[in-house]
Amino acid sequence: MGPEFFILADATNSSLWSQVVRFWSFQDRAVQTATAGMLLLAISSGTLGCFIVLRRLSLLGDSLGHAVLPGVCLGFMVHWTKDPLWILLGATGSALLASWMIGFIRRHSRLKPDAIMGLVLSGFFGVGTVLLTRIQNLPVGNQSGLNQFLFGQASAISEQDLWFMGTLSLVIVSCVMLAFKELVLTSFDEGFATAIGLPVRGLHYLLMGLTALAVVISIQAVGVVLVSAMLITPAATALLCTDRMRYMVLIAVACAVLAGLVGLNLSFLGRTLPTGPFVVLALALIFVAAYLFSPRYGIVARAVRRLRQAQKTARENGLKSVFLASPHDAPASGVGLETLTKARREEPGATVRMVRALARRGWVTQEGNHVALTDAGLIRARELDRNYRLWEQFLTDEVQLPADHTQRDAENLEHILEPDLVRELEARFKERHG
Amino acid sequence: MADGIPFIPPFDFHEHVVARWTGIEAHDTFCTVLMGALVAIACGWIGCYLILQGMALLGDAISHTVLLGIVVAFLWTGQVAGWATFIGAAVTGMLTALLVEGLHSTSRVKEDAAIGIVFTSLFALGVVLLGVFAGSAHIDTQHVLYGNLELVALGESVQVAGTTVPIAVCQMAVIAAVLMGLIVAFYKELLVVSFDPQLAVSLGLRTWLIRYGMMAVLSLTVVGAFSSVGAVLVVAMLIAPAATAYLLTRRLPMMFLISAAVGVVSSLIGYHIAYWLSVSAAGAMVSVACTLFGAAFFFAPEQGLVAAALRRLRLRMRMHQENILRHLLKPGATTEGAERLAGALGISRLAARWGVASLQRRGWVAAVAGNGAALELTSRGRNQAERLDRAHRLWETYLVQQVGLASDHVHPAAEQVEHLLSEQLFENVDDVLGHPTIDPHGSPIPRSLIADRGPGTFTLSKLRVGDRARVVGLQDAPQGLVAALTEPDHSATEVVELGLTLGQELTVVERFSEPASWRVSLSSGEFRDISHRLADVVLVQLAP
Repeated sequence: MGPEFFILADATNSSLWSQVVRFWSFQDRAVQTATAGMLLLAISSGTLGCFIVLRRLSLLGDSLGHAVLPGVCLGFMVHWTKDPLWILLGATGSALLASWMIGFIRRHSRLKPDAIMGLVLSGFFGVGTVLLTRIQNLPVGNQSGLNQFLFGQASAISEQDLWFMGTLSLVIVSCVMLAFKELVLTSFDEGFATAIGLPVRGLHYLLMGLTALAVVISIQAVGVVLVSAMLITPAATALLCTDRMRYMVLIAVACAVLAGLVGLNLSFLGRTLPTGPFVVLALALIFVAAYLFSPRYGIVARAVRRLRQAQKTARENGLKSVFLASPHDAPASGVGLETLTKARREEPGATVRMVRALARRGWVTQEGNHVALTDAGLIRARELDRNYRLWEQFLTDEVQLPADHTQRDAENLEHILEPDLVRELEARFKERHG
Repeated sequence: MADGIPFIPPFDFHEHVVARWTGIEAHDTFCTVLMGALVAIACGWIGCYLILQGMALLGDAISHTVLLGIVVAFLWTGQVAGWATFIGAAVTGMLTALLVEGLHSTSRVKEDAAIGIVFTSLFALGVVLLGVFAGSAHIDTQHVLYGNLELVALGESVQVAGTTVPIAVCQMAVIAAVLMGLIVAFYKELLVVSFDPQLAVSLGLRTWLIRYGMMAVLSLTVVGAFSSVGAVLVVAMLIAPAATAYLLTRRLPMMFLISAAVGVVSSLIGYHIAYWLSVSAAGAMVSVACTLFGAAFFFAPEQGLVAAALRRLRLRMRMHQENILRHLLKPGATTEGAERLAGALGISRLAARWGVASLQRRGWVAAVAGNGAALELTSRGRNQAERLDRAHRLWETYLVQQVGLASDHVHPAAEQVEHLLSEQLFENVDDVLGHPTIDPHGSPIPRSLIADRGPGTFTLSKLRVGDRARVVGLQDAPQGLVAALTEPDHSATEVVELGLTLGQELTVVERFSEPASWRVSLSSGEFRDISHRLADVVLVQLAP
């Protein structure tokens, strides 16, 4: 426990709100360092996480996180102090060894990849636990502070640590920016990338190496157990918000930064609680918000779209029924409400509501019990009818469905055929039937 | 090393092993090792199914999220290891599976990311609740990860059959027994679901029920093991014994047995190592289990790395020997010995010397009398060499005739294939090709030495121009039952009509190809043309 703790420890007497304010004023040295560290890690994890998630390597991130523990302990044992350089080297070496081992076991046995990763993850962690508990049982290792690497303690980040974290982050971000196009291509279409001569395996190893570095940066702040959350959750959140790779990276970094700061604040509040779990909870909340409310892929937005589509379909079906019930040679002359109700086989009240909706749309006019199509309504009704017939013809001609099987499909599709497709179908129709 | 205390203390067998099992501490030692063994056995058995069904990742997730269930149960009821804990765990386990399924089936997030998000979030929630509200639960965040096996023996105990047994051990024993019972009761269903899920669905098994049932049982096992090995190391106990067994056997019952054995051994050795080094017992157990896995990975008799390397080595040796044999067939190839062979075949001198020595041992090659270093084939060796030569040339013919490769492209492929396929297969190739006598380069193909029924009896199709033979019988034409009933085989009648009666002597005078046929002259001087189909049926013996 360094001097930084005392600055905040005396804040336990003040109210929660004043502690929050104090945090966000960034006056405390400890807060400044911790925030800087958190920002660095948010940038590197957010960026790399996008590629990890797209390549379905999420479990690998988890494995590497747990696998650094033995390396951290060994690094500590070099000078029996938390020397950031050695801890970093140890962690990186451990992560790279684990990643090599996963590949090796995979190539030479018939175990499935998820079992191999789980085994390496927990095996390395087991060895790390042995080292950790041995160190802690020695008098010199009792105050090692190594246990903070389990769940993270951002307030224990020293300025020296910041230098290393900064350098590594720089390396990560520059590599990603330099190889951005290649990394994106190999994430989406490996076959094509190989065909045009990109070093696909080399890029894969590069990504693994950078992930190891990102993991090493993160363990101080969020701990080995939860580091995979820093990689996966912001990227998944961004995935739900956008289709463009650039924006995905930006959004992921933004989420990571926001969650990191909020989590940091929560863990600073009056007690020395580990940072990792709070950051992860903040990430989870942001993810849930995106899952529900993302304008494109959020559950709410999708439900609204579905509802609108259903309403549109119902309206257009209503329009068609008016059109079909009107006299064939003079459709604009309209039809009586009772006839309409009978034709639609529903309650009179429902017909009235439907007609009112059509009138609101400007497709029909209603006078007493008589409903007549407007010009606009007539045009749209004819379009629907034509789409229906076109699709029916397509199904009969090209798909070779028997004539009595085409009705339901055509009834569904008439509402969603787009003008381009309609033109193409018409051209085909002319070709076939003159 | 540090402050005069060595990092690795000296190992004293008596103090660290024997003394644990004698005296007053024996009971505690026994309880601790027993707990470890029960945890390992139960986890190992479930782990077998996790590995087979590819659900190790979900198992990893659930073992983390049960912490949330445990903490919530504690906050609700104050119990740390009571019935509420187990219910809480089972609920969280199934909740995890449901959330993962819900997440990845309703959004663009793929399954692996969904698992990662769900389990880290729930686990983080558990840790936060633990740290903020549950300070009195005697669960510290560190031990959440790797447990505290050593304390199990000191926990609350009950009297069972005259001895005091810690409650945790009883609970684990019950869990292990229930697990064994479920496995036995549902053995067939679990078998089908694990190895052929689609068959299971088509048989009407409710795979979703079995799957969620497994999640629930997994959660219960993890909770039982929680206080001993923690959330992260339990994953090792789920996977390592099962993975070791997977590499050592291909039979499921054996897999259960081996994983249980690995578990017991890990617990025993791990406990002693932990006592000696003053480290976490769970960590030591996991390290031992992983070492055993490593041993199996390298030394398993069938699937191990060493065994595979040996197989490859043996194959290469055999190939070298066979190449030497074929090389010695070439005219004027009695060579100056192994060195020249090495050069000619492009292999190392050591490989050549080894190959020659093996061939000499088998009596296929001998030193030329009078010329010390030179080698020649014995008559048995010549037979062997000609078999290989035949295989090589048949394959070249096949590649050119049937596959359509150019004749200058086929040599390397045939060099490889001649070693790998069985002789019977080459006989089939020969038949498909119409029993050719010349290869694509114009060299003769050695004749087949395989008898068809009894020594010295061959089908007519194996005869070459100039052969004299006597008809001795008919080969049963292979024919399915349906064909036999609907299209009865008339070969016998046709053969007799041709004049090829039993004992008939004939000489092959000409061979045709496309379609393959044999022209024979009978003892009466008449000529007959025999089709491929009939030639495959007539059995002859060569005249001496």
